[in-house]
Amino acid sequence: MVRFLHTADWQLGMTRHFLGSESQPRFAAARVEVIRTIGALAAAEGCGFVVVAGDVFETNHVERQVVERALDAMAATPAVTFYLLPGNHDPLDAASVFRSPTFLRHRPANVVVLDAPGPVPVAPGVELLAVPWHHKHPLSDLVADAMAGLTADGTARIVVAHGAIDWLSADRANPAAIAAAPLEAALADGRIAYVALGDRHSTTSVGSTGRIWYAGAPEPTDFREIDPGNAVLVDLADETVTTEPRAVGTWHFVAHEAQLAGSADVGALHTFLDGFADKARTIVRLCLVGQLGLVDMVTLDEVLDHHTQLFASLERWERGSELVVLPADGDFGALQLAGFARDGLADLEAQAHGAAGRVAQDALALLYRLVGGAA
Amino acid sequence: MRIHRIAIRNFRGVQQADIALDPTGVTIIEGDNEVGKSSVADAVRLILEETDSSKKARIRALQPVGRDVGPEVSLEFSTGPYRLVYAKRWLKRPSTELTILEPERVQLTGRDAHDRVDAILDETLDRGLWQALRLEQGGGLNQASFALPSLGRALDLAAGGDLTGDREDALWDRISAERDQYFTATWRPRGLRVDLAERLVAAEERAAAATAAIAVLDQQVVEAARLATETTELAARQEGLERAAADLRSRAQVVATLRAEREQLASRHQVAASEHEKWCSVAERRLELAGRLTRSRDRLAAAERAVSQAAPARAAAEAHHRDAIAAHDADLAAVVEAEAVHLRASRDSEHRRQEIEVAQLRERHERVVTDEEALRVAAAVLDGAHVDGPLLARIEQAELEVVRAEAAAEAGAASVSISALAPTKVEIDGVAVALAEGDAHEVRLTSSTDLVVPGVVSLSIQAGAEDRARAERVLAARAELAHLCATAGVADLAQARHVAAARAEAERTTQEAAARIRDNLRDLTIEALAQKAERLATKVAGYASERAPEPSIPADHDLAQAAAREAEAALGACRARLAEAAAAITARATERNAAEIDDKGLATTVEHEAATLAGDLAALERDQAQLSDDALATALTGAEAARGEATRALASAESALAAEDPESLDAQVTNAAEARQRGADAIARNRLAIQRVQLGLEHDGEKGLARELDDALTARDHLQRALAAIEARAAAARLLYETFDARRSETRNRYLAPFRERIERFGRIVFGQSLEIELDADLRIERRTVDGITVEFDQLSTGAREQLGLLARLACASIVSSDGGAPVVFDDALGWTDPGRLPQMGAAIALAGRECQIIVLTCTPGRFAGVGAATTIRMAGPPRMTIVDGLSAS
Repeated sequence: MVRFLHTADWQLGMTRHFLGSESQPRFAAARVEVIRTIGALAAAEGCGFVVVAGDVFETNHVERQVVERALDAMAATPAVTFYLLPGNHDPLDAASVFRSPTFLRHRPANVVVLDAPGPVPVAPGVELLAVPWHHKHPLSDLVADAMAGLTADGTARIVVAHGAIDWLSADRANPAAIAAAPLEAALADGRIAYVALGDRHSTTSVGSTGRIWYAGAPEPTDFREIDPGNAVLVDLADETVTTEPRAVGTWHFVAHEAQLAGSADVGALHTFLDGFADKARTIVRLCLVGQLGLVDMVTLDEVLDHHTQLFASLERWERGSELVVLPADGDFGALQLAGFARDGLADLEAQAHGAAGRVAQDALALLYRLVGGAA
Repeated sequence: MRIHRIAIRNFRGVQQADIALDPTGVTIIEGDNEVGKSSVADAVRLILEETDSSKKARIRALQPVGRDVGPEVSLEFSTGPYRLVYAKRWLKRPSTELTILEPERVQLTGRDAHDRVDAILDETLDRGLWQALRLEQGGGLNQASFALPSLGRALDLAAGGDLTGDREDALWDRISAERDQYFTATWRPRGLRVDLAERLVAAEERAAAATAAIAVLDQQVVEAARLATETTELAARQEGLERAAADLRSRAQVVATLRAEREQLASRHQVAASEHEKWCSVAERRLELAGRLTRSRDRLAAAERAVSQAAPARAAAEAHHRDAIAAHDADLAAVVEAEAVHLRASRDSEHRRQEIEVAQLRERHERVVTDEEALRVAAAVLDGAHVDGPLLARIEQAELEVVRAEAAAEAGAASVSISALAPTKVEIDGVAVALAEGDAHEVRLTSSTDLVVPGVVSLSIQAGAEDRARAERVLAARAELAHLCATAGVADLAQARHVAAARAEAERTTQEAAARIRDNLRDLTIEALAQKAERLATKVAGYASERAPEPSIPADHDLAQAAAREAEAALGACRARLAEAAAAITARATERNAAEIDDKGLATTVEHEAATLAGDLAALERDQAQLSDDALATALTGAEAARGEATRALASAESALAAEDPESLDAQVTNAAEARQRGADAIARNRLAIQRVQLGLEHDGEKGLARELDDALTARDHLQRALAAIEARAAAARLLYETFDARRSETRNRYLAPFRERIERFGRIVFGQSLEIELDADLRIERRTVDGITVEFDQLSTGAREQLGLLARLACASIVSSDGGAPVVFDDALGWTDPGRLPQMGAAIALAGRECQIIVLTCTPGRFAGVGAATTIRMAGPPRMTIVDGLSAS
């Protein structure tokens, strides 16, 4: 019986360009902090070790501070051994961060780099079958290569690998795709007991065995991720394997599309945004669709402006947004512009429709502001 | 606003004036300088502007000098719905009184009155218009600003009643300000836009630099991997090279042994060959000696044969020589003979020539003698004949003169005809003439003539003066002729001519004889010529006697000359033959000498060859004494055998060595060594390169390039968004500005049109129908076009500017008049306008006067005479003041 924590894709050193100068450092700090959370969880759950299935670092060129802080975070739980697998982001090439003077100098005793393909004993009768990346573009299924010649000799083997499973890979021609079927076969005949994978940032169980897992990124990194922010707690018994994803992340990526047709919709959006509990660690991308009058648009701008201050990031996704702003009846009516001003307004309104109307809409909004419609 | 009446008292120099004005139409207030015309204008302004308590300088200046009274003004005017009478006194007992007549009667005094008027004016009067319509004395030629609310309203109404107000103007200012945030005047980006764009470029450059640096690292990683792979391959190859080198080394040892054996055999072969060559050389020498002996014998025999063969040739040469000498002697005798013949023939020829010369000399002598005689005869003739050519000519001339004189005398003379009535005799000048009956005789009376009928009558007829002169001329001519004939020694002209001919013949004879004498004598005297002929004759006679008779002398000189030439030719032939004979002697002598020398040489050769033969024989015998021919043959055979055996052994060793291909093996050994060295070098280089790359990666890998790139990309993304946002705002601001600007210009143009048209309407009276003007945004005239020529306002003449200034005021006043407007006041205007234009200006003023109130103040009454419908008021000078109630002009 062995219990361990399966995690991957820490990608330490990653930055998100859309984050501002205030949130970016917090985001980076959270991604180091989650290591401590993982260590603490492992210790709390009585795990002997943690396997990190690749992409510990965003790149081999990360700055020293990232390396030293990561090692320091792992050192916080000395009873838990961290087995780090080089992945495609941090392969064991000549520039490998795992061979950098900083890493070597500061590596605590509970940190082990899986720097050679093959078995690494972790407990009596239990070994890791490490499948590290030595460069960024392998030309074969490294897992298949590592498993060649294995026999079901009673050793409980945990494959620690990184990369796309062929079943889930969109790239059929990828020579390095990990073939799932042989893994399932090996799981079935006892040559291996569990496959700890990294690469996919969403926590995912592959196939039907329940023994092949992508742990997912412990802190989310993108809007596209389905279920990030977990580590998988694994129990290996003689015959059975139990897995349980455990939330460890603290940040959230939210992509939201809002249909806006009037002040009620603007109000609903306001309520939606207000509903987030941890706005300072939430990154929101809004896709705004519909048509608003100038008055509603001013309200919308106020809502967004307010929440921009609250959220770690609140951005409008320009590409996906199709929000048309046109003067509604009464927007300018009350002002009763005369002469050239009235004619100019009419000209702009005439131009505000259609594909090229965006500038005219902006001009109308500006006019609205200048005539004092928006304070 | 319309002013109905102005009254002033104690106002500067004006004691009192009361002026009634037409509310519509032109009022011209005339007056000399300083009668107070300007005071009227000032009074209207001050009553409206200054409170009665004012102590301002301009109020104090109103105080009449030396009088303790306060200046007073009373003004009756209507404005808007109001009509009021307003009076003020300043300085002394100041007061303000207001009576509002319409719409409701109200009376106020003091400050209340002033404030109320202010309020009414604020309500009803465009004060800017009030200012603009007043062209005051010394006010300059600047255009008034017509950007006035009242004009604006009027123009707005004219433009369609579309009133824009302060709100639109303020909006436009904000739109312009918004635009100015993003654009320069020429639509270039400015401010934050530029800043963001520059920062974006900088961020992109940073990102590019970081990307490039990472790319270098990635390249180094790839390079390190490549080097590692290559090193592994090189190491494997190196092992193969080592094995091949060991194999080659063992083969090289075998070849070395074979090479040593071959060297030994080669040495032995060289010794045998050397011995063999030595004996060959001895044998060759022996053969050489025998050969030489044989050749010496042959040569001696040949020499002896040559000696015996040379003797007959020498004898023949000597015989030839002797023959040649004999032939030469014969030719020499022939030459002597021919020379004698030639000498005689030459002398004969000379002899015959001298004979001819003697005859010629004698002939010449005879001719000279004859000619000398002829000379003497001619000289005698010349001595007797003195008539030469000129003398003859003079005689002939004299003769002619006599004939002419006589003819003249006869022709001019009177004549006497004597007719005999009976036979009678008359004496004429003493000469009797017998006349028969009926005979007639005529006498020419060339000179005095005596006519006598003897016995009867004696007539002495005297010639006239002319007859005498003619008679004297005849006498003179005759005397001259006689004198010349005497001089010539002749009787008359005929004789003279004969003598002259004889003289000419003698002269010709003399010349011809002298010429012939010169020809025949040449350079000799006649005596010398005779002597020369005789000397030569003696010599000819001598030769004939001395010469041998045979052969005879040729008959004449020609034959003698031919014989001489023939003898000369024969002599030449003999001499040529003699020369040939001499040459033959020389040639034969040479041949003979050569034969002698050959003979001696052959004898010497025989001696030499005999000596050589003896020497060669001795040498051979000496050699043979040392080693006999048999012994020599045996030694040579032995050496040949030994050499053959050594050659075979060497060939065998060399073929064994060749079988091992030593050269190829050497090349392979060398190549293997070099290849190993190269491989080792490559491995060492690779290791070094890997170390270098590794060091570089360790160093650069920790620089945090990823962070640098991330920072740059983050900055770039933020800047891109910010720039996109600001660009969108700028585009919106621009579109808004341009849209509104276009509409505004359109409106302004529409709005300006009535004002422009009104100015043009008035102006065409002055400048003609082609006048067009352009207005600026402040409704000022910007430029004027007349007859297609456009001139900026500021470039116009002073007069034209003044006129346009007036016309613009009239136009403005007439447009706003329906809304109340304000009076137009021209104080001392049109001073710059030339008299020719004054009537047209007057007409324009009159036209405007139909709609509005125009007050003209002038000290030059004629200046406004052209204003048709106007009321003229005359302000007289002191005694101060009058007057005057509307003296209407037509």
